[in-house]
Amino acid sequence: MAAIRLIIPTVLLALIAAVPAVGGRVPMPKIPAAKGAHCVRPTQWMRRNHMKLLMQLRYEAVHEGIRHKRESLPGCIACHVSRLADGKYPSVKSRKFFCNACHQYVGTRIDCFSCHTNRPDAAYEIADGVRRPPPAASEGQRSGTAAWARAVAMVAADSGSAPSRSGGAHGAKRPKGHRAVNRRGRP
Amino acid sequence: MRNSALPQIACDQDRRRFFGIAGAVALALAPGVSLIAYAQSDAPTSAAASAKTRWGLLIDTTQCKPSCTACVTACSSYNGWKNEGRPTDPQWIRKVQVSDPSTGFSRSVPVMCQHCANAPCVEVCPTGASFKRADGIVLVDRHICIGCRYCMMACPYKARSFVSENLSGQKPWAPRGKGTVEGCTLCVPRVDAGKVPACVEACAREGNGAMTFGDLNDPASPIRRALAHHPAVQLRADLMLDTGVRYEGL
Repeated sequence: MAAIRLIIPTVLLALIAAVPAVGGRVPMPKIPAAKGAHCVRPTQWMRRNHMKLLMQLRYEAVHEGIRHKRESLPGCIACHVSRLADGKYPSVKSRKFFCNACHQYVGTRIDCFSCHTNRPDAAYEIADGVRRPPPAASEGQRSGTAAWARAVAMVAADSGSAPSRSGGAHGAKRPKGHRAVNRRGRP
Repeated sequence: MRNSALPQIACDQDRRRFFGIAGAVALALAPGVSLIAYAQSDAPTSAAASAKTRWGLLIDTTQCKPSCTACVTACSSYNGWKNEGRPTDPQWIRKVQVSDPSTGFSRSVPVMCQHCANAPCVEVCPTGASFKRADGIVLVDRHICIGCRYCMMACPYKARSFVSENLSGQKPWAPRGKGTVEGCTLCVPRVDAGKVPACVEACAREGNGAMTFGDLNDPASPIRRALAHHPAVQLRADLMLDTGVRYEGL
């Protein structure tokens, strides 16, 4: 009797666990392959934190002028968006568009691409491809190094207590009315 | 009994403290190590904007031909905006004909955002979207712009415009979209990459070389040397906005 009591829940659990594997109501997202060898961060980290990284990089690029080649929205697009079989780029509304593959699955809407282009463009190289000399140590504590220190703090906070996006003057300077890109589906 | 228990408690607390610190160090280091490894692959292409620099433009109106619109065309094609003559069309830069009716004196001048040190658009913005960078470039952060257009009302130079329709085909370096205000950015991605704005480049190539771009804070820069030797004015200097764009020959 005791054995049956154990077996029935075990079988039930196994069945429940098997259902998503067989195929749930919503198909699992098919994530288009990227062109590069690896992402700017580990994939598992990006799945959880890409929105925080994008917000951080966006603030630094727009307000402080710290720009990155790969770590920028055009950088993401350059690597993650490819032509389809018909030679066209996927529409931002299509599931074949990299961001949408997951966002549609989790019911999240973003409005990045009402302003930003969704097409990788070689001309970006012309616009921003010129490398400046690296910032001198004396000039500006807000250089790239500080940004990485903040990113490290961000990860530490994420794995520990409440998430905090930044530290120091950065957070204090952020203006009010800061609109969240991702209002729904945030963990 | 009490005495013998005390060292035991103290030892436990030490152990706990040690594990606490070790855990915190591990939490801080473990992701950090991989982050640093990834960070090295993508150093910033530009340093943070510094208040040591103040970007400015000098426009020699004696060299600006009334028929030439090279600066406007270059701005339009670089930043991806189009003006088809409708009242709501964007105009980041425009040619303005100024004349004195009493004497008949006339000049054609390009007018764009004057990148004021005391910018009225920044003062009136309710969300902080209109802001001045450390190096004096006045910009709109469209992520937080709510499209109220106070800044358009406040600007004495009519330098800003509002996007009222859905757009497509924006340039990767110049995102623009419906419901936000926009204006001359002094080609900030180019400036960050160590180049001059598109209008200045076009003026040198196709026009008469009437525009000089440079650092107003650097006494050795061409713009400061020119300003030291020629009289130049700010538009509506009476408003005391301390504009970054100066005009010679007006």
